[in-house]
Amino acid sequence: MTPLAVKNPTPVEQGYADAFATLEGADQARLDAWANFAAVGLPNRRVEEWKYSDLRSALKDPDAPLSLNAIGFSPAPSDRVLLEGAPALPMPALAASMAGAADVYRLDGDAEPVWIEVNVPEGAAHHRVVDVEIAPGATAMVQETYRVEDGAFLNLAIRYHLGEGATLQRIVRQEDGGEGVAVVTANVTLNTGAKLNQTTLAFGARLARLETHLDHAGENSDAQMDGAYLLTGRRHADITTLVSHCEPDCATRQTVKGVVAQRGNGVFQGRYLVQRAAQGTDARMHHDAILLDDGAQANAKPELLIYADDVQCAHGNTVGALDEDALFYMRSRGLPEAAARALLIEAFVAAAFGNVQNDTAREQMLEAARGWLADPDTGPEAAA
Amino acid sequence: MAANTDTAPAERISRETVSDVAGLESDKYKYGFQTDIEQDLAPKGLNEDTVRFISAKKEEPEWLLEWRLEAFRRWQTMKEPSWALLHYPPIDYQDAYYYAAPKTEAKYESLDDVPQELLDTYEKLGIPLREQEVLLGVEGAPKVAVDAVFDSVSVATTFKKELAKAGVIFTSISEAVREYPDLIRKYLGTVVPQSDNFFATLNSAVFSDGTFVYIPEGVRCPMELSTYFRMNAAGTGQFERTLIIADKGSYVSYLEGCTAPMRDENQLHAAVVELVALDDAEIKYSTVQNWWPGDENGKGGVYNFVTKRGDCRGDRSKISWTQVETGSAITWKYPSCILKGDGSQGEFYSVAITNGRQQADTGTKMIHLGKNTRSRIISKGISAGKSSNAYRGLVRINPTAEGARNFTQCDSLLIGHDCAAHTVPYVECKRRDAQLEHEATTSKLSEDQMFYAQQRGLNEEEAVALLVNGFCRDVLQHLPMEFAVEAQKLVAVSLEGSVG
Repeated sequence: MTPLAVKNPTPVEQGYADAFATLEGADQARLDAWANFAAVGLPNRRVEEWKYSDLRSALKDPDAPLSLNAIGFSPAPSDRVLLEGAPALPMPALAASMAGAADVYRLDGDAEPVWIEVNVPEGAAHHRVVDVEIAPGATAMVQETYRVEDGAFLNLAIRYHLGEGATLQRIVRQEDGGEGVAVVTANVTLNTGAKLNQTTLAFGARLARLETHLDHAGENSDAQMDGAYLLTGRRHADITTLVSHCEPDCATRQTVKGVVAQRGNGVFQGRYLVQRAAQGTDARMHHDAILLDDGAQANAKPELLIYADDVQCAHGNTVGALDEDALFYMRSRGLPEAAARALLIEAFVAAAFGNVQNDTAREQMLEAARGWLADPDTGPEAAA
Repeated sequence: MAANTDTAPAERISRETVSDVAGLESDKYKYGFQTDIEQDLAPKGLNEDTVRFISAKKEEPEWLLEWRLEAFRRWQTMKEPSWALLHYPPIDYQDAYYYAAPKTEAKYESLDDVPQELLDTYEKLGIPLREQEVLLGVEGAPKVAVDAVFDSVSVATTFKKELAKAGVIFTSISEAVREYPDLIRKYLGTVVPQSDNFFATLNSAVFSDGTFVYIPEGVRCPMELSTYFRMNAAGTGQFERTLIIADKGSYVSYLEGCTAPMRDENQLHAAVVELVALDDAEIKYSTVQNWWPGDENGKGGVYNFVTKRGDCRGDRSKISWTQVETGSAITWKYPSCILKGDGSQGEFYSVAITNGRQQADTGTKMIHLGKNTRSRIISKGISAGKSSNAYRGLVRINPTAEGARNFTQCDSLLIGHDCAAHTVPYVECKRRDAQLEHEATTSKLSEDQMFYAQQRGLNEEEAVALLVNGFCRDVLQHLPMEFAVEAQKLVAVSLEGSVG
């Protein structure tokens, strides 16, 4: 059987098509995954969901070798299994067709925190599928760190399944990726009474996209989905969240903060979809961006799609410069300008970390933000 | 005294709202009648000959025919957009008449020549075409000049002479093509180019009539201008084109209203409106759209695909859109402002109400190009019945728009379990010193407020009308006074039957 071809393929797409064609003994799920990817190809700005993140033109190297050891797990996954079914979205589908199997964690009540660390070396590509199942009533913490070097490409699909009353603290860090490309797509399912607390921190890359799909599949589930992006140079970061309220009385709250310096490009796309059955939904979304330099840009698309009437849904979105009055006040109290700016930015960004339950993790994120602010090479003051 | 003036109108309005709802329970859409008048139709279908037919009927110059044909050729290569949150069966563009006009000579020298059926129609719609009737009205009542468009042609334009004294040109676009070809050639298609989008390109090929307004330098238009669109003939589309030019330092307030008879079939309406504001000019454009929305089962109704755009070309110019959208089975409409001039301002105030099986996808675009440009968007969406109502808007700050400022507020209200409300804003900022704020909320009518209103003696429907009118107040107050009252009634009527 010949795998489906991508229409008018770019060299990179052709490279994947060739790689897939040489695979032997791919199972049905893998074939389906490839078909799902091939139907769309690498998303570009003509695909509405990727309007502000043109992956097709960001990926340039058709010969990037697959790097299989780019990932580190601690502790080791419980299992590695063949795929059960193919993801529908193009990027997870590509990851599934390339990886062929998933690393599985089964976390119960006594599970220790999980670390997933990916470091894709220069010029290499890495595709991975990870499944995390959290037992009913269990409390889990997963910290993901992603680093891509120049010319590297990371495409990771991670699925979280939370049993009844389970709790997940998810912390995602996308380290400064220079000229690399990182795409991380998470699918989170919350059963009755389950709780997600997610915080994302992105420093951008040539293109970095942290996408989360969240399904409130059980009543009374609750999600806090915060995030921040700190960008400089020509880096791009895209925080996209698609939340689906399918059952009654679920809540979602979201605070995303962005700071963009030099010629950086920050993207926030948030969508709350409230199905007819999801009466009693309480959903709030907030995104604020500060632009520090001319040439910096912020693009936001905060959507509400509401099919139920007994709901409270709201979103807010602001974009602006640092508050000159506050800056003036601080300088009049004797703070040097650079310190005053850093303090204001830190206070602004810190709001995105306020819900991290683990003190160490929260402090680490703040520390990373401070480090970015102070860094003379990559920080916001580098150009000044 | 002060307290009296504050409460009296409010009481009066709510009383009117209540009596309206009560009075219209049986006959919700009072504009659904049809005028029997002999029609002159273009052959059914759409091809180059149709375009030539329309152009010939209008006795147009060669360049305009070429312009139309170019648009038509381009349209054939275009695809109908599908991104809006709208669901409707594919439109057969060959199954419609693209030109319909009352058979008697289309251009009437004076109102005395206008067939009585037409005058009666407009009277029934509450649109006075006879100037003396307007003048006989309440003393001191503001005068409104009306251009009445019946299917494909403009049948009457009132107060032309008085306007001419001020130098204002207010005429149908076909007449303007003949009388002011230079102005038309200079401005037509400069805001919404032929190739802009599927529906605008279709309009460029087959537009039949519409309104042309030119306000000369420094003139404040002495009265409200208004166009009244009436779709009457069966199986026709209406494609009007409006062009308003406000020269330096001028001001004009313009209002359009639309109605159509109740029919089982879907009628297509694809209009284009172009506004140009030069230095220090201001255009206030208000729409009360009440096309036939179809019956409660979604049968019939007008498909309203409209491209409206204002170009703030001059420094310190201002364009303000106010719309009350209550009709149409499908509404696809995004009145926009291109803020080119330094210090120019764009405003968009919208109330969109959907009931029954209506669907609306409407909003605005504010494109900031000039320095210190400001825009403000207030959108209120109300969905009831089994309808769907979406706000879709774009605010874009280009790198040249130093010190740009935008404020956006979109609120949606849901009445009933089967309706939907969506908010799809796009915010794109490429300026450090820009300041953008956007907020949106979606909720149902407050139970506390409903309880309070009912406990004060209002029944459920009256209470809904009262609360909804309050919800829309920020927008309705931007309508010219006499239309604000009208719009308030319309809000109540549109929601009739949505509770219980």
